[in-house]
Amino acid sequence: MKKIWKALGSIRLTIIVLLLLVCDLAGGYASLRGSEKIFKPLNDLGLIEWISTYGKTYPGHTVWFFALFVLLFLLAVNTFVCTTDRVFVLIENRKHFLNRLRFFLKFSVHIMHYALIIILIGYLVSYLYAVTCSNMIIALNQDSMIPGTKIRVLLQSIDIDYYQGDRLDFLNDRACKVKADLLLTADDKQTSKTIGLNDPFWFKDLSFHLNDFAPRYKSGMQRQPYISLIIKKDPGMKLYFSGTVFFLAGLIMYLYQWFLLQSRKGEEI
Amino acid sequence: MKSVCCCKSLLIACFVLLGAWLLGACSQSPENGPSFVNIGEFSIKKLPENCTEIRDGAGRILVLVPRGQKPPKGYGKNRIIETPVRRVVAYSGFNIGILKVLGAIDTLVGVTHKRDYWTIDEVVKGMDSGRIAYIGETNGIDFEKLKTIEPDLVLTWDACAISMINELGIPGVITTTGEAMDLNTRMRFARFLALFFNREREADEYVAKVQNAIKSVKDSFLNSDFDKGPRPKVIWGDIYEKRVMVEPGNSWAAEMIELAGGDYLFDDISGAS
Repeated sequence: MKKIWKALGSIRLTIIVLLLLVCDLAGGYASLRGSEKIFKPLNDLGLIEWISTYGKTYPGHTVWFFALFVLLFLLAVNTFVCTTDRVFVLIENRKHFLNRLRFFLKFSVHIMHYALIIILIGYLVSYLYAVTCSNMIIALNQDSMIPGTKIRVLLQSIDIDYYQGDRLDFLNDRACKVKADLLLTADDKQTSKTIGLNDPFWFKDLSFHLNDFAPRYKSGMQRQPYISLIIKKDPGMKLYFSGTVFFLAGLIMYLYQWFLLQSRKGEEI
Repeated sequence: MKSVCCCKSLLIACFVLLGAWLLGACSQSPENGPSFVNIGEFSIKKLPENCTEIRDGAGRILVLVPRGQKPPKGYGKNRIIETPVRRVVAYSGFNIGILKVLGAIDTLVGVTHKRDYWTIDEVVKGMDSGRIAYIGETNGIDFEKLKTIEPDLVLTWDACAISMINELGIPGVITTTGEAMDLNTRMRFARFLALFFNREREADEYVAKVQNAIKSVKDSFLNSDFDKGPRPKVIWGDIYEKRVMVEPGNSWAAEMIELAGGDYLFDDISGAS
């Protein structure tokens, strides 16, 4: 058991896994070109469903992705074992630190490493358990029920700004900004929300994202105004945001420690 | 040294597992055919009890259920389509052309172009006899009329229409995709459409016929003098009042032009049709 633990925390394993990751991702980049259609459904199908359909049917295109999982798993285990070993060593040697703050700041790197593992777990949970309604189409002044919920969404208005100018002539009359006002009804309560491009919102554990809209052109064939929403319930989101917060905290601690060391060197000179 | 051996053993074990998975993935049951087929951005997945789950061009999941059978759980009312479809409304001339090839044109009951537009005899005769109704242009569909002709299914490219169609209790399928269809997808789209009408055999025959035609075009080019000289430069698109819309390089039109010996000038552009 100790041998396995030692092997899992070995720096050699880290280097091997990182090199293999580089090779795998290079292969994946080459493989992905022209086969995006195989991977696009991963956004809404979920990992298990995707594996049983696209993943199994096109092994030549997807093998790099499965190798990536194996390698990331190894990297996470290696990081955990390596970091835990060092944390225990640090705690055992706490008596050597006269300053409590300096001792605490020594954990900064390890916090960042654990945060990385939390982020990876968050992504895995997201791929395994997120439920996505990938294309909910709502016309102007129409309401629809969100599948799997008792929430109704009404598109009250859509405000589209079209580019008008001489600087980028080819963009003239094309939509450059869009805002849509939605009325959400749940448990007999109504809530107004506004959504835009790269401007999602959260409502009752669901995240709402603007996927598409019309009309995209001011002139030409007139399309009836509508929006297409991506609605997602993602339990992994909290994990990877937490991991990000921990990573930031570790980074701030590390930078503070670095500044402390710099100022101490300055005093010695 | 021992830790190096352990590392190697671990890595080897992982890749043996991966290899075993790959072998399993590569072996498919030949008797029942593939349980999952992907046609560009469309997909077909066989479910138990002769049901089929499909993914349309907009990524929407629907289920095809034999008539009289209880649908599987987990699908909304507007995502269930009873097959074979007996009454269909189609927006696209391409879809209607495929219906003709599949021998299912007699299921067509509604179109979005006036009689003068059509060159397909069955559609012209159907409109003259009143069997096929004109439900308005695509930017002004008469949904009241659509409701009265009681279709089982609407094949459309207009995502906005789906919400209105579903409100009428009619399932809709989006037959266009975000990215332009390549030649292989365009050809095999007949297999996707055939599922709604139980015309899979006709679809296979059609696909084989088109594949032979494409091969003959390609062979003609290779055997001709064109192969030796400069290729004719070609563009494929529509000219409107304020802009020109062209087919991108990943489209079936661009591929056909290249196969026929042309030099498609927009082959470096990728995107929607």
